[in-house]
Amino acid sequence: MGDDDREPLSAVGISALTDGPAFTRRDLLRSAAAVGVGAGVGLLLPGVAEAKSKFPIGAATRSKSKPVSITMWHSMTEANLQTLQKLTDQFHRSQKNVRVNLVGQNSYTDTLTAYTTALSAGTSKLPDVLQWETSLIQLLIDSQSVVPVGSAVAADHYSLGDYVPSMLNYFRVNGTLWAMPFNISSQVLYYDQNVLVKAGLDPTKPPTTLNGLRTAAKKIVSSGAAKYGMSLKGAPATFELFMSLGNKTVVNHSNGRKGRATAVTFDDALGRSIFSWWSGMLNDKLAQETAPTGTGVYDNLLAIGSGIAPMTLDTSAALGTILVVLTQKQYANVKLGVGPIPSPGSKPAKSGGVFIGGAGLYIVKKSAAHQDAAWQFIKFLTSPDQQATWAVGTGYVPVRKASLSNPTLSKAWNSVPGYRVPYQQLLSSPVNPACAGYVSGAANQIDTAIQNALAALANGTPAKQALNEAASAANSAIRSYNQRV
Amino acid sequence: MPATEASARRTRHLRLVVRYAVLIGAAAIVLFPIYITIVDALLTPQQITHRPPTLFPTDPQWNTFVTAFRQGSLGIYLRNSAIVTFAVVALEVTTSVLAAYAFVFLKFPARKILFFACLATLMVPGEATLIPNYQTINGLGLLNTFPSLILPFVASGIGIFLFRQAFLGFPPELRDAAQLDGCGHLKFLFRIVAPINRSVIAAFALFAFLSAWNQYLWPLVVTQTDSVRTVQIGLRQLSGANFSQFNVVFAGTILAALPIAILLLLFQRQLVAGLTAGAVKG
Amino acid sequence: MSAKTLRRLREGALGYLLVLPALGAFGLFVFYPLVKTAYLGFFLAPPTPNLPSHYVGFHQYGQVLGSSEFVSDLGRTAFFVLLTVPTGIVVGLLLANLAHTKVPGIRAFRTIYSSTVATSTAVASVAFLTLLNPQIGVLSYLFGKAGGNGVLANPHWALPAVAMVTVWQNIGFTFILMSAALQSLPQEVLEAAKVDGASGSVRFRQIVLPLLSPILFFAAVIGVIGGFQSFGQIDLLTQGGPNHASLVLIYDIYQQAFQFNNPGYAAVLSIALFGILLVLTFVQFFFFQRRVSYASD
Repeated sequence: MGDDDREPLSAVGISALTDGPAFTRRDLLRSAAAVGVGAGVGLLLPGVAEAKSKFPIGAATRSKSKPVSITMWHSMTEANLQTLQKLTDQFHRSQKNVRVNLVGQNSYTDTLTAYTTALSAGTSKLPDVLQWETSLIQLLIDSQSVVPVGSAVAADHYSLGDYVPSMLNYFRVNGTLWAMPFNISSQVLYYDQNVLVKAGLDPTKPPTTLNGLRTAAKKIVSSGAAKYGMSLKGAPATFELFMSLGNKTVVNHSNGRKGRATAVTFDDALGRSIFSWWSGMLNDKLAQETAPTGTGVYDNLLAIGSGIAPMTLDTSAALGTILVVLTQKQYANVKLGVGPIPSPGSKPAKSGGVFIGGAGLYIVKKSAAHQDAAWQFIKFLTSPDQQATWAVGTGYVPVRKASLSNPTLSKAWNSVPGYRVPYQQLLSSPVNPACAGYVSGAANQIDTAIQNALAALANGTPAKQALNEAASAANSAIRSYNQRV
Repeated sequence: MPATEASARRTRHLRLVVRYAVLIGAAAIVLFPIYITIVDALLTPQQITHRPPTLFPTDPQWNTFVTAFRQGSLGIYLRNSAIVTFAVVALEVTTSVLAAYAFVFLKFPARKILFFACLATLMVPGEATLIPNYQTINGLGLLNTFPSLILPFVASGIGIFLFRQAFLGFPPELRDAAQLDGCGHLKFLFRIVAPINRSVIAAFALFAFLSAWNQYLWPLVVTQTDSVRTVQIGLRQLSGANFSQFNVVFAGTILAALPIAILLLLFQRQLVAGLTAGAVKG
Repeated sequence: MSAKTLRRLREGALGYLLVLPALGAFGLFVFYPLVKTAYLGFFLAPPTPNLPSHYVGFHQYGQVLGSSEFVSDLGRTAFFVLLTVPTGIVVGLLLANLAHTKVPGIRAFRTIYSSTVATSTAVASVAFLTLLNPQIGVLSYLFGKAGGNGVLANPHWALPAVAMVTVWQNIGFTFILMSAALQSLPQEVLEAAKVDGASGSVRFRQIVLPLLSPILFFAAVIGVIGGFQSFGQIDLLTQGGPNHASLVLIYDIYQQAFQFNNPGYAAVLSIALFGILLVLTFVQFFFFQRRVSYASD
C-alpha cells in the first residue's frame, strides 16, 4: 500500500478533529493552574543529593581519543525511530566530540531483558545512554549501574527551570533526579463527538469526573446512541492515574519516594470507590471491558470506530495511530474528540494531577568521558527545539515549555488541538508525592496484580474482594523484592 | 434378484456420498483457519476490519507478501531460521550417528552406563535447564549469536536411540567380513552402515528439522536483535504490529509456514516415518 | 603388550572419541544445568544479576512449593493437559479412521488432514490470535462473540481457547500417528472380524482399539509431556492472563526468570516441573504397561 492511499483520508481525520473546540475549556482551567505551579518550581529543586557525587563534566571534550563514541539503547520503532535518527544526525552536525550509535531493542520489555543480561557480563556490554520505561525506575536504581542525571545537572550548573515540573517530579526518588524525561505521554479521554450529540450530550464538554463519565455513559446507552457508553481497557496505569488524580498514593513511604516502599496503599477508601465505579460500569453494561495486552490493546479504539462504545481512556501516544485509522472510509462518520482524563468522584480533587507515561533517559556508569558524552547527548535531545521536532514527529508531549513557541510545533498543534490535552494536564499537575506516581522495584508485579484485579471485575468478582486480592498479591511481591535486594 | 442388486448398489452409492460428505466436512474444519489466514493476507486492512467479514478476496493484494517480507524483516528471520535449522540438523545427525555407532560396534568400559545417560536426557525437559543454560551462553559471551541458538542442540537422545536401534539390526557377519577386508571403523561407518540406514537417518533428520525450525522458548530468551531472530520469534515481533497492518501479520504467518509446507509435500513419506519412528518402534 | 590388547585399547579410545561430542554436549547443556538449577533454588536471587545473592537453603523450596500460587499453577496445567490430550487423540483417531479407506482422492484428504504439521506453535497462535480477536476476528464473528472482550480476555474461556488452538495445531501430527498405526494393524484380523459379521462400530471398539492401545499410550505420554511444556501458545495468545487464568507452570517459570528477575524462584519451579514429568512418565509407563496389549504378542 502506497502513501497515496493515505493522504486524502488523513485530511479527513484532521478536519474531524479541528471541528471540535472540546479542549478549550479544560485548557484554560489547566493553564491557570499551571502558572501557579510553575512559579514554585525553582524552590522545589533539591540540590543536596545531586551535588554530593562529582560528575565528570567536560571529560568528553578533554578526552584524547575524540570523537567519544557512545551507544544508546532505545525502544523506538517506525516514525519514532526515524525522528530519533534525525535528532541524532542533528547532534552529530552540531558538534565534533561525541558520536552516538543507536541500538534498537524493539520494546521496553526487551530492553529490560537485554539490560539485565548485559549487567551480568560486566559494564562493557552496557550502553552509555539508556531509554528506560518510567515504571521500572526503582529496579534500575537498585542495580547500582546508573549515575543520577541530577549529579550532571549540578556539576554543569544546568538550569531545569524550563522543564515541565511534573515530568521531572516523576524521576526524583529520595530527592535525587535519576533521569531526564524524554518520550512522555499521558492518558486522555477519546470520544466520538457525533455519538455524544446523538445522546443529547454537549460534545464540547466531555465528562471530567468518573461520576460524569457514568452519567454520560447512561445517556448514550439509554438513548440508543451506542451499545455501550465506553470501553474500559483494564490497564493498571488507568487505575493508578485515578489514584493520583484523587491525590492518593499507590504505595507507602510517599509513593516510595521518601524511602523504599514496603506495602501498597491503594486499597484505601479512594481505591475502593474507583473499583466499585469500575465494576458498576461493567455490571450495569455501561462499559465494555477490553484487553490491556496482546492484539486486544487496540480494541477500545476500534470500538470507537465501529460505534460500539464511543468513549475510552488511552495513552496520548496513540493519537497519531488513531488519526491514521480514522481516515479509513468506513470510519468517516466518526468525529474524534480528545479530553483530559476524568478525576474520581464528582469533582476534581484539590491537589490531584497526573503522572507521566513513557520513558526517561539515563546515564550508565561507564568511564568519565562516556558519562560526559552521554550527558551532552541527553541535554541535546531534551532541548526546546529538539523536543519540538520530537513531539511533532512522534506524537509525544514535549518536556520543555519553550518548545511550544517553536513554529513547527505550534503549527502542528493548531491543526490537531488534541495534542495539547496531554501537555496541559501534565503542565498543570502539582509537584507532590501522589502526583509523582509510585516507584517500587516490584512495579511489574504490582501492575500485574492491579491488571488481574481489573480483569476479575470484568468477570463479576465484587469490587472489594478484587481490590483486596490485588493488594495482597502486590504486598507479597513487594516483600519478596525487598528481601532480595 | 435384479431389484435387490439395484438397491444394494444404491446403498453403496449412498454410503459413498455420505463418506465423501464427512471427508469434505472434516477437511473444511481443518483447513478453515488456514484458508481465512490466506484470505485475510490478501485483503486490505479496511476489508479485514469490515463486518460482516469478507470470506473471499475479490481484489487480492499480493504485494502484502512483499511488504511482510521486507518491512517485517521476514526475509532475515527466514534466513536465520534456515541457518540455525540446517546447522542443528547436521550436527545432531552427525553426533547421533557417531555415538550410536560406538554403542553398537565398539566395546569400551562404561558403554551401557553412557548409553543410559544419553537416554536419560529424554527425561529432562529443556525448561528445567533454561536458566543455567542462559547463564552459560551469556558467560561465553555468545548471547544473541547463531552459536547460542545452535550449541544447546548439537546432540539428541532420540537420535542416538533410533540409530542404535537401526544399527543393532545390522548383521554382525557383515561387520566381520568388512573387518577381514581391512575396512576400518570409520570407513565401515561412512561407506556401509550409514548408507544402508539412510532411510532412518532421513526420517530422523526431518524430525530434527521440524523441531529445530519450530523452537520457541530458547530463541525467545537468547535473541535480542532481528539480525539473529528466528522466524518463530519474528512472528511474535510481527504480531505486536500496528493494527492497521493486520494483513501484514497474516501474510507473515503464511510465509513462516511455507518452507515446512513445501517440505511436507516433497518428503511426505519420510516425514511420516520420522514422526512415527518412535511410536512404531516403541 | 599383545596386539590384541592394543587393538582393544584403540577400539576403546575410538569408542570414547565417537561418543564424546554427544556426551560433551549433554554434559554441558543437560546434566550440568540440571544440577545448577537445583542449586540455584537454594539462593534468593537479587533483582539484577550484578548484585550478590543470599543463601537460604531449602527455605525457598519450601516457600515456593508450599504456596497457593504453585498449587494453582499445577491445577491450571493439569486442566490444560486434560483439555488437550484426550481431545487431540479422539480427533486424530476419528480422522485417521475416516481416511482409512480406499476411495478415489483419499490421498488429497490425507494430505489435508496432516497439513497442520506445517504450522508451528507460533504460526498457529499468531493466526488464531487475529482470528479470535473480538473486533476483527472471523472466528469470533462467526461464533457471535463480536464486540466485548473476546474469548482470550475472558477468564473462563482463555485456557480452553488456548487448548483449542493447541489441539488444532496438533491435528496433523496425531492424524499421521494414528494413520500409521491403523495401517500397521494386521489386516487378516480385521478381515476375519468382517467375515464374522461384526459391525463397524463393534469392530472398532472390540478389535481395533485394543490393538491400537500401544500407540494410544504413546500419544498420551507425548501429549501429557507436551502439555506440561506448552509455552509458545500461552506467550502469544494470553501471556498467562487474564487474571492468571492461563498461568500454567511453564509460563510462571518464564515470567519469574525473565520478567520479574527472580531466577531463584524460577529454578525451584523448574525442578518441580522436572520432577513431575519424571514421575508422570514412570507412572504412565507402568500403569499402561500392564493394560496395553501389544499387537506382536
